Amino acid sequence: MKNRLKVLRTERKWSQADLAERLEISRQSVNAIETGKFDPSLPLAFRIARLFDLTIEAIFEEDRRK
Amino acid sequence: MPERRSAAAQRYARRIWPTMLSYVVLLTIAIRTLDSQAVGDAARYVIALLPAIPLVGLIALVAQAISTETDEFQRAIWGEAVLWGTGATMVATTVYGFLEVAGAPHVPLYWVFPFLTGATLIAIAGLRRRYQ
Repeated sequence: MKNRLKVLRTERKWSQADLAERLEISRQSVNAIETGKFDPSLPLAFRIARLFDLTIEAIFEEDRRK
Repeated sequence: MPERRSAAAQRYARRIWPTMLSYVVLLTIAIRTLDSQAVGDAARYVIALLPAIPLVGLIALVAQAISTETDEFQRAIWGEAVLWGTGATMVATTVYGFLEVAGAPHVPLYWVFPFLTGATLIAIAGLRRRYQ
């Protein structure tokens, strides 16, 4: 699933480790989500959206080609 | 900056060494006692089972670590690795079972667990690379 997580994170000058700390997940998880290799669960997606004060749809985009 | 480790991973890391140590100690006791022929038949069965206790504990530790892991990505990787490890073990043991019928040398069943552990660790390494 495509997402704007990396853009949003760098806008705030956060490292992957900073974001991981705020979400209480591992840095590897942040990396896997950013690169689109791992789709977060709905509860984690809500936590991410809340952290950036956005809706889930404003961060994650459905990959319609699949 | 040190990597953040979840509570489940920390608990696992804390408990794994005493478990492994007790396995080595009990295995040494069992091998020495059984080799010496100093005990009767019934006692030999009990002594042979001693090293199995920490091994069962180890399996429980891994199961607990996976089920209480709060980081869903890490849990997914572990779950998938166990699946690959189990699959590889089932294939290897079944295929070798047929080879034994054809005359291949017998391999004791206690090798299944080290094989499963090795296969799972290889799967973990592969999955970590894939998600890097």
